[in-house]
Amino acid sequence: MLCTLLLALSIVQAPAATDTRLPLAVLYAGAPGTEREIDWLAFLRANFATVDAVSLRDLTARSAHGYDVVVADWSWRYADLDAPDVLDLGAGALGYSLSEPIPTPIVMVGGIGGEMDRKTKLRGL
Amino acid sequence: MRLEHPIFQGPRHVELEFVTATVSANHAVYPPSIEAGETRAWLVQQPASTPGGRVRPGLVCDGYGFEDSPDCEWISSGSNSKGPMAMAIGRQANRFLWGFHESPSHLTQSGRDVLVNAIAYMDQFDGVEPLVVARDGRGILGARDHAIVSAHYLGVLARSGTSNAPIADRFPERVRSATGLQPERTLAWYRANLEFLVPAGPGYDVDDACVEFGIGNRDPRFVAELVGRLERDPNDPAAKRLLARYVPAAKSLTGGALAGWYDGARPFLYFTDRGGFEWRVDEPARAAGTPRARVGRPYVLR
Repeated sequence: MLCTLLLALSIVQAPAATDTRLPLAVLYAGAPGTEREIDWLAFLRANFATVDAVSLRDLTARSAHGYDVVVADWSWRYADLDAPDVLDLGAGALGYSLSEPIPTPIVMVGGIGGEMDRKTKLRGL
Repeated sequence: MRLEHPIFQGPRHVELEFVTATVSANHAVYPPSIEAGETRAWLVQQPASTPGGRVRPGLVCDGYGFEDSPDCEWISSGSNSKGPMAMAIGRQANRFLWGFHESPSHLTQSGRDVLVNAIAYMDQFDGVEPLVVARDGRGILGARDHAIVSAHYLGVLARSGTSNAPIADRFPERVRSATGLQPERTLAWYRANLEFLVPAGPGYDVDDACVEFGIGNRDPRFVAELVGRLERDPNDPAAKRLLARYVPAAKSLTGGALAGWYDGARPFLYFTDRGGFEWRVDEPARAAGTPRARVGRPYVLR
């Protein structure tokens, strides 16, 4: 009885685990099924309250609707680390562009940012 | 780097890890010219944690004139071969560039913290549309700073004993005649005329009408002087041509309508090289009644 009581007391008095995640809904639009996607989702879920994933190829104003921020990402796009200007048009090919305005704020990661956004000052060099 | 920017302030606490980095020799070509050497740099990605111990390059975009519209924030360059202004972190409207390629587990702790802050920072820009975008299938223009870059590049070629033929077509005939494409003379010519430049067929040239007017096309006094001159003489042909060329939003206005337009637009006017070497009104800000806030002063090559 005493043990039960002490246990109950300790549960009541134990400091509640603090949820440090930020109260934002984030949509990760990346390369589905890749280790990179797994890495990104673990990071985002540790830091934001709501995180979902979609293929970057399916990113539209409609799929982004309801989220606070989109993170747009893709796999490494180049054939050779020593020739980063040479696009690997095999598995890394994307062919995605921001063809329609997306009102949701977008964080564009790495090389894909300059590729998908050709009409603004963020176009890559 | 703009360390005072909100993405370095919170909500996650950030302790930047600084290392000594080598500045590319290319940086001497790009204004503000930085000589090759070693400098202090923020370590964002962890080379040791990546396959092969090498960081895969990401992306930078053109930092020259990036902040010539009030929807843009240049936040940081990065290690790159395209100069100290090449932008690795920055924002235009509701779009944010995080130019580093490596995924979060290959970032430093401060890299991850700043990335979280950047995502949180962007939440406030829902629905904010870019002010300057490419029109009619054309790309975004380059800022006049590129005239200086090209002049510097002439010097690089001369010092290496290489012909300047491959880049001669970056200069209009007047510049070629006036300078012979001698590096120092070309640089001096462009520096002397910087405030009067416009895009030419090749490269950048002086707008003679602007020189005659006597005020640089991006000078804050430009529109006020033009409006004043047209108030005094509504049929002044030179002033009318300059208004049509540089202030397209007001090109059909005259007399009291022009003066009234200027009074209302003045706090929201901006000059953009990148958007067409013209004065524009930040209409969303005017509708809201307040000019947009900026972090730091925009970099402008003088």
